[in-house]
Amino acid sequence: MNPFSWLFGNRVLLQGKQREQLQSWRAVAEPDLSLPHAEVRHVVVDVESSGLNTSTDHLIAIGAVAVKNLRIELQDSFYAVLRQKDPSTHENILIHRIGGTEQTEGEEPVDALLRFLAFAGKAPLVGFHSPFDEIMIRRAMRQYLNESFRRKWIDLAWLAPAILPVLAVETQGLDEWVARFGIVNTLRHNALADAIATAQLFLVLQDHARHAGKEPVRDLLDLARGQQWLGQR
Amino acid sequence: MTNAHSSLRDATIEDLRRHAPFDQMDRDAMRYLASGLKLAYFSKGATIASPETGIAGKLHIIQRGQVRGELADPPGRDVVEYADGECFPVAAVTAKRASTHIYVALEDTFCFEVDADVVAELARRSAPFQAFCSGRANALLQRSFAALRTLYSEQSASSHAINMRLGDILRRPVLQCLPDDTLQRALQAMHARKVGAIIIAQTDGVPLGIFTERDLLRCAASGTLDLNATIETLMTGSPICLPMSASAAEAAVKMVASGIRHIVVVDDGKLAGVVSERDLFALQRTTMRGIIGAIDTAVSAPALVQAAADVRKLAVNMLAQGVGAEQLTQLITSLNDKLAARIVALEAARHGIEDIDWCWIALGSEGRHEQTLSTDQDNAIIFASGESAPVTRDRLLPFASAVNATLDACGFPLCKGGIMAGNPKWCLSLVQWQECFANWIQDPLPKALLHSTIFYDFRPLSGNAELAQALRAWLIARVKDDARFLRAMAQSALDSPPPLGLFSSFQTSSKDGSPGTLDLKVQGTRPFVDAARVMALASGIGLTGTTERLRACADAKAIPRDEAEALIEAFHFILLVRFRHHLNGNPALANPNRIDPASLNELDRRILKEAFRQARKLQTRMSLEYQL
Repeated sequence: MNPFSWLFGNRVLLQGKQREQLQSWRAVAEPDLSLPHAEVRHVVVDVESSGLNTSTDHLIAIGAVAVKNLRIELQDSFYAVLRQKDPSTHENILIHRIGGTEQTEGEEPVDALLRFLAFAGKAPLVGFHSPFDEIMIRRAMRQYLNESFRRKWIDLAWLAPAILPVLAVETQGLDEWVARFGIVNTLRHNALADAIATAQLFLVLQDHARHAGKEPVRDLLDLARGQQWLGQR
Repeated sequence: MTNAHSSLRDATIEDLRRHAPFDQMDRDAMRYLASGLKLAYFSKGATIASPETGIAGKLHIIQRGQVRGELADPPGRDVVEYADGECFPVAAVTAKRASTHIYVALEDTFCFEVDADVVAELARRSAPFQAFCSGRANALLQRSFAALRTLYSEQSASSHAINMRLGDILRRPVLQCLPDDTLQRALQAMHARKVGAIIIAQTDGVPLGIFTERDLLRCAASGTLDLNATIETLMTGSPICLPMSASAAEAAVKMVASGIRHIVVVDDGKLAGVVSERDLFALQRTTMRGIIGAIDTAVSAPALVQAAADVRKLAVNMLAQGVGAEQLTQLITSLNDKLAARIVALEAARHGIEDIDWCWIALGSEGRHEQTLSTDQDNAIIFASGESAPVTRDRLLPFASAVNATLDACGFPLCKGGIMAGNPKWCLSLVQWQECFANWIQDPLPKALLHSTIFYDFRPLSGNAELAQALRAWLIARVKDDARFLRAMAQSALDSPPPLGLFSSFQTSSKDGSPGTLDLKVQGTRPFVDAARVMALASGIGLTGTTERLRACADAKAIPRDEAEALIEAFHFILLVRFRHHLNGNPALANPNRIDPASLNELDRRILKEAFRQARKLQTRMSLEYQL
């Protein structure tokens, strides 16, 4: 790597078509956060990485599914395995079940990330412990597309206790929340399956939020952020 | 499509495949279905679909949860609960009309949604799905029967007598002795047990030899018969043995090939029993012709007891061959009729009552031609009215009690409620019966109503049938327009609601120590039986069978034809489940009619639910008619 890269930023060389794709994503309008969240397309995201260290580990796969009109659109979903120079450790493979071959034969990261941008558009993003997903995706975006990718994320790990404080006393972590509502995840630790389970939890929370009169997208963001300040989950 | 996409889709398909009709649909149809799915959430208490939402645009398939459907107007009727894998509202989506029912989530529920257009296209592409949409209950029923036939067709080969395992033929404990026992002792034992062979075995159970009547003849002929000789010196050593798993056919071949009449059956080298030529002949006895012949020629109780046992065996075989519940109950009832009539005739002759004009009547399930394998006896006597009724009755009672006892010996247990001809209360003259019935009709107290449900299904079995016909004619005329009595009967018929519960798919009771079970008789068949009785009485129909009554009610336009047929089908299905349960039921349950719905396969559970739904429909019809 060029020792002066910190001076010039990452030298990312995108081809013409790739540049166009990035430009057209940049041109997409930001969503109106005052609209009802029931009507706005949200994208629920889950990533798989080579490990849990956000500064050294890297992105392996992205799974995402769209939620609109209080429905999970199972066909409006996204999945990509990013090509890796070196496959991740054996222990890690055992967790996400993406084998070494699949990792080295994955999609060219630039193409995969551009596809993700086209899929997600500027939709508000949703995750469980989303800062992890966010950092992993932002680092990859920075590295391969030289794109800062600052987006609005709704973290269900905060939104859930904000909306259902009583349940939150004894419910923690995605597995427990999901079990609480009888959500069946047949393929745990597959990014797409986890995204769908997370999306199901999001449907539950949307329903409760609407009953509590929290209609706009902004309310969900505020609820999650407020809970984070309180530091209670 | 990436791996994750396809594996997720396949996981969804697999999930749906656990339920009908998706288990019958081919891969392409399932992929098409999966490509159009959305997933929605409904919190507990949320309305998912109702007439107000207009034309039903989406079919819901429950991914996980529970939903209750009920008629919107009038509310509270036709309640059905839906669980994982079940669809609603099928008819409304297929017909593109508004749903007539309201569907409410009983708990937090996730549903797949399929657009009506996708449903229509899917019905074009997939025959099983089309069948499911067009007549769900009907299609399900046929599938269960088909499944039953396949299940038992494998068994039916082995139920053919000659293919039976030797282990299943062995009945009596084997007669055996030790090598150093004397000949005299062996012969005494053989004589006492009335058998033609004794097996000589060591204390560890390994058979050493066999001694038969033929061996005795051989010893006697050679002039060396010494009663004090040890049996070891006289027996035929190294007897021909077959394992428990060998078939009756193998045993027959061995007998013919070796010119012997007994085969020793061993289990892991140890003596397990002995099969004689006569045992193999007996296997051929359980044919219908054989049983009828045996009944007609029987002159004593043991022969009748044997015939009764053979009826059961035949029923098992017929069920195994996939014979339907209607034919099966008719067959069992007609053979049991013959048996009972023969017993009555034998006892009548023995008791010298030729000068009395009497009629033996069958009541309850036998009266309805609906006997299953676990049925108490319910019977009574009508005799011609004369001046000395008490005298006549006293002469008939010993005869009646004798018949009751023989029936008991034949496997029809004495009625716990004492509803038997040998009970002085139920051995009455025609006039006395009319008075008795008139009292019940006048004063429909709970006990009178209970008796009505048993006695009004009477049918002549033996003796002078005209007496029964006269009583029937009198009853029809007396009851037909008695609105008050019919209303009371209808009310008591509603006392046993089908177990389609409020909070679980089946409402199971924990009464009588069998938690989680339901009673196929009280909660299953009785709603049909009771309702059919009321409708028949109200329409002046003299028939006693539930099926016949429902058909006759349809003939009399008291009930729509297709509704009657649906009811009959549902009734027969429950009967069939009862039969199967009696045959392979759990003996630990005190009540042979109690069943744990969890022990049924998914398909049968669904059909049983549909059948109970028909029962509820019938009760609803009755409660509307009698404004209950």
